[in-house]
Amino acid sequence: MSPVAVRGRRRRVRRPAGGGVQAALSEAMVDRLMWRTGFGPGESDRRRLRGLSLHAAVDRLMRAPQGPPQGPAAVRRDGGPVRPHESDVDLVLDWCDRMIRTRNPLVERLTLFWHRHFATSRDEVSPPQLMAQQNELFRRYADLAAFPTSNMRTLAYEVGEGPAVLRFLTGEDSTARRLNENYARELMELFCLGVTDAAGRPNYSEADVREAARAATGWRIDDANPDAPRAWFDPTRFDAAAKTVLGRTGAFGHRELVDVVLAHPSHAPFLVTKLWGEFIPDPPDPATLRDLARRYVREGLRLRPLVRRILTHPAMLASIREPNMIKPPVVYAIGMMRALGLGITDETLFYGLRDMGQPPYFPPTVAGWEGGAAWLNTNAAVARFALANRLLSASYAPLPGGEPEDVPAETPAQAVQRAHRAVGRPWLASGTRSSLTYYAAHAPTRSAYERTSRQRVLRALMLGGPDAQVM
Amino acid sequence: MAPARARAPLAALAAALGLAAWAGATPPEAGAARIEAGVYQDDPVRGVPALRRAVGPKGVRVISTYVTAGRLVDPGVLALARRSRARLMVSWMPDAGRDGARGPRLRQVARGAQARGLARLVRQVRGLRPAPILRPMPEPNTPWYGWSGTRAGNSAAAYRAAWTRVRRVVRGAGGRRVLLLWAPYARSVPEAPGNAIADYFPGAGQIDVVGASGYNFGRAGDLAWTDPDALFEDAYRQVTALAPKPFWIAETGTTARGGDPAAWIRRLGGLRATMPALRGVVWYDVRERAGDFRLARRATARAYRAFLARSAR
Repeated sequence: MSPVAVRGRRRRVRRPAGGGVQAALSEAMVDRLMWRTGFGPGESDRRRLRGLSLHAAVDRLMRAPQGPPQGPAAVRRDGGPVRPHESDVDLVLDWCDRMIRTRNPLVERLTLFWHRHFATSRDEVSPPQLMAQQNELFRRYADLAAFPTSNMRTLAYEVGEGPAVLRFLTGEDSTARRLNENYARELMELFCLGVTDAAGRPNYSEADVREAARAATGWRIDDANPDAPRAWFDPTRFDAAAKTVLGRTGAFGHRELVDVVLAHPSHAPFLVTKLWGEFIPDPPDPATLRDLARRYVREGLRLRPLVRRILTHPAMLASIREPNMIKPPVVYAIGMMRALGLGITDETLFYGLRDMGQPPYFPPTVAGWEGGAAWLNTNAAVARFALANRLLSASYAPLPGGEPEDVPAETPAQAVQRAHRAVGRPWLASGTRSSLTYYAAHAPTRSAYERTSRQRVLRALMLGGPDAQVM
Repeated sequence: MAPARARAPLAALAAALGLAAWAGATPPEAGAARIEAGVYQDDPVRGVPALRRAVGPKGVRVISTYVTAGRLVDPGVLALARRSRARLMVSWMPDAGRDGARGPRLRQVARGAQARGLARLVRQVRGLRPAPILRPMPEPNTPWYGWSGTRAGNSAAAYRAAWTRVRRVVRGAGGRRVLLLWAPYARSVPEAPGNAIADYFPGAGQIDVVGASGYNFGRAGDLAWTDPDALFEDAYRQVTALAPKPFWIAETGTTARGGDPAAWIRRLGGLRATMPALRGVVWYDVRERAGDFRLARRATARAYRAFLARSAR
């Protein structure tokens, strides 16, 4: 046998290049994160998050307290405060104002998500206090720092027993004698399960809907004091007999019904897919979906860990050089106002959101807004540019940074750079930057008026052009 | 003690009643199995006693060593493992004795080029108690070794074939008690098709223990300070999905560059809550060019002691 050396071998680790979970966030990555979880980056976000890992950055966002809103509150055209209970325009603007001035945009983004998910329209819900009350409920569940055990089960209880949904889906009229199936159907179809499972099999039958409706009877609304609306349970209107829903039988009331529906195997993949789609445009691959769904169930349908897993998934940073998700109108508009440092001073934002197709509190159907490519139909695209132009005009409000100054010696590249800084340094594709520089080089600049006009046009193109529509 | 014992039945009751969120509110470590903690040092014969004094005996339940193909474990290390009743983890490196894309290629390993030396190694360690862990060809999803799947002439399929051969040699040399640990790097470098963790999986029947290695280099270049949950979360998910077996962090460590190593170690202790299959952690206790990973500082050692008290057996 040959002699065998026995000297130990020294282990030395290799430091890999940045990538995957170890990647230090670049500015483009911070911008991506802040658009997808909020309303775009500010310079302070870029400073504090750059260089962190995605996990660390997400943890910071999720731990941040809401805090009081910052900056001056919204005012009406007459200079008075908005009155959300007196005017639908003000109702919308009041929420927009919170989005503009929030210190933790993730809370407002998740509030918006729940509003889209449990879509309820002011068109069919009066008084408006019911909508505002539901909005506060969503915000409470969206504030994952203050409510770390926020979970789908109690959220579904509270939404279903909330005056807004009871009125919108006419649940308040559903009694043992006169059954109304609206809520039961939407609970399964839109809120918790979807029509079919991944294999295309129906998740529920018409009989399930009827039986579920019986379990949801008995709820009424007391809105004698519109500022303190409340739902209450009237046992005389409740169908107390046994029901069979999704294969389970019992004398179910509303909460037991929700439990049965949430225990359906289609619930977790349904909700995970929907929440994922709020942040990431491409659907999760089957293995990721299975894993997220399994953990979501194992963790008692808690939302905080699920949101964290989605936000820290590498897919969040996919296609970083070419943003690939269309900004919903609310995100686009609020982001623009935050970037420009503007607050609400009249109804411009309301009409802008209406024209772009997403006035909050007014979803087009009970299924909410379609989203995705539908955000950019011809009319909506024009409305987006018009809003950018309007916000940049002096007639809306004085820009905090002041009107564009005349800089006679400025080169075209410098003009582009100055405009870019003035609008918050949004993402620009290299081709767009070239086009803007070309425009800057060929625009008339003989007078101060022409030079400041060039600056205005550059800013409008950066805020309203195609690159500004994606995140 | 009574309240602590009462928690588990309460949690079980809560879970049974469907109050899962409440059940989940119990301390996450309450039900998780305790882990074995170990260490790699360049010179464990001299270093382990000092480390034992600094962090306590629980910190050196496992002694990790690296052996080039054809060689045996240093007798001093072997004696140390016996003397301290520590488990020996042997990382087997079928190359020419230095890291880098040199030495035999995987297809040669699969043909048995290193079989005789490996058999000798197995015979050397097979009688150890506790049962030794053999970690052949670690981190194949990186470009740093002769057995790297991305090295010219190698492939993930060749790695799997080599592994199968290695296992046959180990078992054939009487290494039935030798636990085979399959441990890729926590993230694939490069992240490219054909170089994913799953590509190197040799099959559940070919391994006894799964794991991953990964390090927090701190804020350096385009690397970010990376907490242990972020570092291992994805690898754990992938690896345990491939084979539901005990999971080891085959090697880890942190530098102090751009963060707080004590806080990092505290988070390491939290992994048991999210990684129920976690059974072992080996600390890379070395100062080298890539960083100072030693548990030498007082605050770091204190945090590690606390981690061991809470998590290790």
